[in-house]
Amino acid sequence: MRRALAVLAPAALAACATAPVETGRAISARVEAGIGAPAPWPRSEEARAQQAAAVAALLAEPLSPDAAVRVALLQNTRVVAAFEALGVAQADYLEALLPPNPVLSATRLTGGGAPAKLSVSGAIDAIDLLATPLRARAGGATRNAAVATATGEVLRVAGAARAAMIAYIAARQEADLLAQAADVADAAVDAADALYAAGNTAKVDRDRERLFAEEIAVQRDLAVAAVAAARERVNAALGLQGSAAQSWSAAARLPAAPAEPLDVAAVDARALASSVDVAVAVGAVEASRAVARKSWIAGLLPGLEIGVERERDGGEWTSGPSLSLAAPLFDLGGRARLRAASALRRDAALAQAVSAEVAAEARARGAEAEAARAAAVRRRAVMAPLSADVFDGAQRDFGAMQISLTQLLEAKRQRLEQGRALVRATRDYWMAQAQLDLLLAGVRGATAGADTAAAPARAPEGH
Amino acid sequence: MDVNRRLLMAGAGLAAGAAAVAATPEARAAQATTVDPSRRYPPGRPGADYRPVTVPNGVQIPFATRGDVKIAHIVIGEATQRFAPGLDAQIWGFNGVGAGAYLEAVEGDRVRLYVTNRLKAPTSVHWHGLILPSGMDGVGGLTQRNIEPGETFVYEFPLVQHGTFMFHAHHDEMAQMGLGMTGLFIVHPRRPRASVDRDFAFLIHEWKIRPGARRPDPNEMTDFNVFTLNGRVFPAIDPMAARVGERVRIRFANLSQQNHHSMHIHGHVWTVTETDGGVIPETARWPETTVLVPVGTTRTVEFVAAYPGDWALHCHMLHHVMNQMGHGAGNMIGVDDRALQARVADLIPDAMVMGGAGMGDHGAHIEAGHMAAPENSIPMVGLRGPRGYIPMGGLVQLLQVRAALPADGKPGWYDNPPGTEARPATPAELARDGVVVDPRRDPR
Ligand SMILES: [Cu+2]
Repeated sequence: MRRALAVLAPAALAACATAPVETGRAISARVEAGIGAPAPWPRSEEARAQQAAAVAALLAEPLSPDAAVRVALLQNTRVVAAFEALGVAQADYLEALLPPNPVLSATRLTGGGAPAKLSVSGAIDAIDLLATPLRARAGGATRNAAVATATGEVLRVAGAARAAMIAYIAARQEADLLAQAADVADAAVDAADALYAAGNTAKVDRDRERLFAEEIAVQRDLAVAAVAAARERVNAALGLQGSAAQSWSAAARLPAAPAEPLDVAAVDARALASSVDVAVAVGAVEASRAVARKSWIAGLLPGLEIGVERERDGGEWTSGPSLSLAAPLFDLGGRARLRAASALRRDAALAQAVSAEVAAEARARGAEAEAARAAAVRRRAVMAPLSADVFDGAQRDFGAMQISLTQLLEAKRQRLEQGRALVRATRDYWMAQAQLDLLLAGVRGATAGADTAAAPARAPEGH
Repeated sequence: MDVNRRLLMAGAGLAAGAAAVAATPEARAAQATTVDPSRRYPPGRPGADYRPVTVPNGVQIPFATRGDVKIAHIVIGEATQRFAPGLDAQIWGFNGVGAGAYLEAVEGDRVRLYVTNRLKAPTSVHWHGLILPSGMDGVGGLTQRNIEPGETFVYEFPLVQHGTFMFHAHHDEMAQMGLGMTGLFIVHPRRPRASVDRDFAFLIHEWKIRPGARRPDPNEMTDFNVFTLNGRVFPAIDPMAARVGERVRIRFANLSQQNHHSMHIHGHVWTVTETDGGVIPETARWPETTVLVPVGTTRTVEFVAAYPGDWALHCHMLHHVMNQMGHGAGNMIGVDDRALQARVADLIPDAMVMGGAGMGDHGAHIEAGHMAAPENSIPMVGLRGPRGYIPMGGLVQLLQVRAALPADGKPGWYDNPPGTEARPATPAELARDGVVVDPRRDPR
């Protein structure tokens, strides 16, 4: 036994000291490759100070969605938590590598004038000992799943930061356009007031304009509030607190969607290859398979223990091996085998389902991102100039007395509404692209902090 | 032509085609004629047998003489017509002209009119007001089958009356006339009873052309915005000129879609002498300054150009003396447009808010480029006159009466003799005549 322990211990201790750091580096490398931003694990005061300085430098400039991701990976302590979880997983893994502890017993029997009777024995759970490689395999699989989970955590931090910043910039652009629209509606009220004061229109004409302007004002106010909420979501996603949460500024507008179609070929295979969920599910299957094998062995020889016993009865020591076996009177081992086998089949089924889901989601996200890109490009390249032409035509019609000043202002408001639609389309594209990128880096599902429902509803039609 | 006259003609036993058109004595009394319909006359010669009419900016469809028949070829088709600089219209017309082509002949002439249809639609041509055989009357489906696209029909009849007549499409009337298929048909008397020195003719038409569009909308029923004389809108039409003392005849013909027009002369008094039904007996005439020309009729007025000056002649229906007046601007009169202009300046820098004191400046601003207007439109555009902007357009003409006319007949703007032009009153004049200009003491 001593020999065995001596073999195991140095390896385990070495692994204990270095494995999480190595794994952390691997995760950092993978996140950087997938997201394009570094995700270091600061393990010293010096490293932490360097990161803080890097964050301060980033926050000094208006933040783009890319910069927001960089800040989040340096600043959001969910990243640190994910790395630290690696240590926890490593400890669990090391525990799985150890053989079972032997059971030692000593007995001293006296009485009847006879000399004391000493007996010393040691026994070990033989099945557990024999299954050590299986336990190591199960532990390794579980650890791999934990590494994948940690990777996913870091990627989610990046994705949430990007989504939150896209939403914030778009919300500001929308609020700006709605403020202009409200100004236009106010001007229409001024025009209606002037016509009413001159005796040229009925009160209801004026009141209709006022009501409409109030409608727009409500939308504008909601949009302004939505900007504040979106800013807080950025703070949460980036892990910013205190004055840092107050002082940062963002880029004035979202960049235009790319003109070229997205490359969505084999997007499902690419997503499967990097999927954290698939890795976790596969890890679970591996672990369950090892557990099932172990329970099969245990079923053959239930409760098998082997040991040595040494006894002194009087002056002579006698010794010999011992072996004990549970009599399978009640527990035939069937329940444990059933549990393990079922768990294995369950985990295999789940892994298959996850892989189908990830592949399908990848195709869906690819299609959605490309559709959103095409829509945003059409809005910018075709509809925005058309909208300008329409407004120019309205101005000409105003010059020809075909339409009233109120109608011209309404045309201006519709032009702003087109601008708002372009902002939304651009935002929707970048959101979809971020989702797709995240999926290809390994994480699926909605990104937190990207609540886009905050935008106010459209004005009622038929004004 | 009314039903009674048709019945009378039918009762007279008219032969079809080129047969002479006879009439009962009662019918002949109602129309104007100096010929005997049972006789044949040599084709009338311009200058010798009649003094040609002046149709400002109109386009004549010429007659060629073959034997004793006058032959014309009328081609119906689509064309682009310049109503005024800045406004081209896609019209359907005769020989490329909408509401501006004319035929001119003499009583006793026999005319043979070839009509080629280059439209994609069937059509027919009606000779409005003329006494002719029923089968030549040109009502599609009633008196003849339609002229299909690509076909050429021939109409032939003698002219047995004189006066101011018209011709126009008589199939799918609303669309085809609305798109411009109208023209003038002037018939001079073979033996004029009295001659005039100036003989002008105008065919009036109205159109709906959305500013920025090119094709008139024949579906319009009320909101017409372009009004033409011989296919032109004022100011893009040649003015009339006459010497002092000359006798002037003006023939008005109206084939508008929906509107009658009350044509008004400044500085003169005229007498209505003829309609498309004939000559009004002198005892039945009365003096006028405005003659109402209903849709589907002609009115001929005569007067002596007695007074030198530049005199306006215009329809007195006020929406008919504006070019492409938009009716969507709302009533801005009395509104502080400058304040509104300042209010919207940031939002719509190019918008020029106006109308607080009326629309008089509008056309001038459009013309000067201060306000953008739709392409191919002349909203409110009038004429830069000798003493300021004239915002009138559409059914407006000028009669320039001078003691003498230059060789080209274009006298230019009239210089009012000293002391005969309205001007600001001087303080001395106000004081002399006891006129107090003080808002508190304004007469009310
Ligand atoms: Cu009129």
